Amino acid sequence: MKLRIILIVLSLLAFLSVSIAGYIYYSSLKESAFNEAEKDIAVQAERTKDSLSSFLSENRKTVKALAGLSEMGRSLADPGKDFLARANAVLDLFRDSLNGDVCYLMDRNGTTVASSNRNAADSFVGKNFSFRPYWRQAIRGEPSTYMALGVTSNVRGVYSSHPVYAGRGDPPIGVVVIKVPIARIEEEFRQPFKGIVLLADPNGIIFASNRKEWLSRSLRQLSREEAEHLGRTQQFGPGPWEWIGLNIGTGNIATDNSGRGYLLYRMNVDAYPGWNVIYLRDVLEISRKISGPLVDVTGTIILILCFLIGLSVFFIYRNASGDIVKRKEAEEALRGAKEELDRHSRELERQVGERTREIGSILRYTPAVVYIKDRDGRYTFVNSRYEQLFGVRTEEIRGKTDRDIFPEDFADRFQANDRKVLTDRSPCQIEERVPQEDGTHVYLSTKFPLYNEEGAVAAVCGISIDITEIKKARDQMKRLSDSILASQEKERAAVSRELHDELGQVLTALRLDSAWLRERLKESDPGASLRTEAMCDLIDKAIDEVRGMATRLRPGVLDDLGLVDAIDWYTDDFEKRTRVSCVFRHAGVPKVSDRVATAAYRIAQEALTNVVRHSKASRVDVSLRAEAGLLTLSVEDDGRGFDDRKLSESRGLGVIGMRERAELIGGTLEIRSRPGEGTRVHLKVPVDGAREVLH
Amino acid sequence: MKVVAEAADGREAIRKTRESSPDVAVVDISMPGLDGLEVIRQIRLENPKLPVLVLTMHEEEQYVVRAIEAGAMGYITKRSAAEQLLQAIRKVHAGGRSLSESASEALATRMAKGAGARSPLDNLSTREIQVLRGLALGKSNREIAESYSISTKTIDTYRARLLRKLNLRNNAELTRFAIQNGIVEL
Repeated sequence: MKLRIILIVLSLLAFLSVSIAGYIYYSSLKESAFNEAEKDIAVQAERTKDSLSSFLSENRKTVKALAGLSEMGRSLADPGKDFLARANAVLDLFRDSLNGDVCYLMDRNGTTVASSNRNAADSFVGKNFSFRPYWRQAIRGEPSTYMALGVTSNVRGVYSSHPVYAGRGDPPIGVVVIKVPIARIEEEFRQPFKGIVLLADPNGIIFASNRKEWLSRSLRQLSREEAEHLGRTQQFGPGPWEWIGLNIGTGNIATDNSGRGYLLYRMNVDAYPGWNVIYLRDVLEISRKISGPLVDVTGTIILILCFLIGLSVFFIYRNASGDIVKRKEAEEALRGAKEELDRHSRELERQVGERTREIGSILRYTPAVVYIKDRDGRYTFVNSRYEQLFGVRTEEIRGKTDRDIFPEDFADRFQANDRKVLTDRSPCQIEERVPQEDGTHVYLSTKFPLYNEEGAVAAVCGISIDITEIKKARDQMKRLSDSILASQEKERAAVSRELHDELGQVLTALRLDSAWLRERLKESDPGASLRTEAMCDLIDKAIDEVRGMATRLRPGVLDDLGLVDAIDWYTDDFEKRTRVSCVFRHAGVPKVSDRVATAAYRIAQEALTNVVRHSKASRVDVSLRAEAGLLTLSVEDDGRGFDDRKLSESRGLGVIGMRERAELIGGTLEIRSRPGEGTRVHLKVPVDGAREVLH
Repeated sequence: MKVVAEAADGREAIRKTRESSPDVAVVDISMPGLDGLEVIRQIRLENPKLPVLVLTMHEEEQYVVRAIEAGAMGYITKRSAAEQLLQAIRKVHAGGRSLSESASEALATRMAKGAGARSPLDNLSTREIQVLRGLALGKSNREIAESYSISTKTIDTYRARLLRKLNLRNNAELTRFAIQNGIVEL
């Protein structure tokens, strides 16, 4: 806003100063023009003055010469026709040579006796002009010059008179006069001068002027007495002499009654006291003299300049406005952004607060034990559960290490685990044993590194869950499972044995006897013999059935000859039954315990059953090896496989069973399969079947 | 032929053998007390000239092999005792072996596979070895199929597998392979 005002003010000031300057310039120009005009007038006046002076006095010598001519004197002395005619001729001559108005001779009474205009209409020969001052003076012996309006001719002129003497020393007998019209000097007045020039008598009567309308008027208001007096002199005619309406004030300015101002220059006429030559110059006209061209030339320039300036001011203003607007917008945007930021920041604070509260609650109520230790193993935080279990408060525990809370070997273990997380820079999950009031608990600890802003590991955080009960339960389950499987096997073994050994034996004995009977009856009773033969077959069938049942329950080979022979037998039998080519390889397998052998055998059994049930394989490779105390059993088929990440329900249970058996003897079971790429079941178990699982 | 002694368990068997010096010992594998195979080993150790015949319920080949490995000269299943026992006793007494067809085969295969050495037979299944032997011995597909209770088509499949596994081209090469690896004896 301010900028705009400043701009406007500046523009106005500039404009104002330019105007003032212009005005001052104009004024000074006017003044100088006036001065110029004055000087001009002065110069002009001087010239006029000189002309006028010379004009007024030019005929003095001439009139003297005229007066000295004998013809003049003689004609006056002897007014005979001859002398008169000669005088007239002389007067004519003089008039012609001088280009004057008239030359005439007057006698001592003042009567015109001879004149060059005696033959003209306005001849005044015989008239008496003794009232004329020029005669009065001349008749006294003084030549004079007199300006007046001709009575008869009505022509204004300059009368130059000279006394005529009869002889030397005599008083004048007459006067000779040369009249020169004033029009000549008026010519002079008309010289290139733009004002008004006038020749005025002491009364103010305008005798000569370059303005015709001003002639015979008066510079000032004449009173009646003056006018009457002036009329009687007959110098300027009868009158009246109208006032031209000019008020001559002090200084050099005169104003007429219309208010117009005139520059006035007054000059005395030499030898004519009271007569003035007055130069008048219309002030307005002077002004116009300068203002005219000024306006013409500079006017256009100023207009253009004004226009340009106006335009540039306009543009600057617009720019400034634009800048102002932009700045305003930027400020607006900034304010908006700041508000946004504030809002955002408040929102963040709120969220942080909320999150902190949430996390705080979680930490307070979780049954898990949560703790944070720094790089040196000192506690920086523990949650409520920790406080409860180990009877410490988070403020107290800060700065302490595990050694300050737990027995040495436990503490060392914890610290070792912590260190591992720190060096590996990755989380880990381990079981930790922790001594508590009611004995040693087992915890599943998830420990992970905490990073600071620079991305370096600053601390270790641990979340530990008490799995003592779970472990107990699991161990119980395992034991249960183990015992179930064991008793299952025992039962099967018992039943198998009974079937095989007891029932089998009986059947075998029966067969022997029926065979013997058959032989016996061959000759004596062929029919009975045949019958007995049928009996034998039946018994054979029964034996087969019993044997089959027994071996399915538990093959004797497993118990009598060991794992290798058992699998060897099973794979042969498998091939016979299923037509799937089954290759069994074994190497370095020692005698293993019953538990291990049973588990391995059952796993192989299950695996091969799955092969025939699901895989549509054409070949199975079974391998049993022992190396460095580790027994490995591998069953690999070239069947259609399955996605081992997705174990379907139908397979699932069988697999669980296999895994369980493996775990119970301290081993691991791995099943790898991909669709179209066959299946591989891989068992790894310590040869002595350690019971590690049941810690 | 006279039965000179009877024993109810392993130890008694060894004792009675010592005492009665029979010409042939007929022993069961599943006996209470000492393991049958162990009995055979002991008897053979003490009396190498005494032929031992195994008479047992167990018909699995694995038993046969173990028994022979332990030192028995013959192996009769109880099921076929009625028909074959007497003959078997006489045979082993004469110094020969008395084994059923399949028992002999199993034994031969076992020998061929060798004791621990890696042989090309490691890659063959029992069935495949059986078919190989059959083909090498010149038996027809039908004969082989009959003896193992499988179809002739299966025999063809096995034969094809054999040729592929062993990288051989025809029966003649199969026969040579069988001879080279001791599956058949000349």
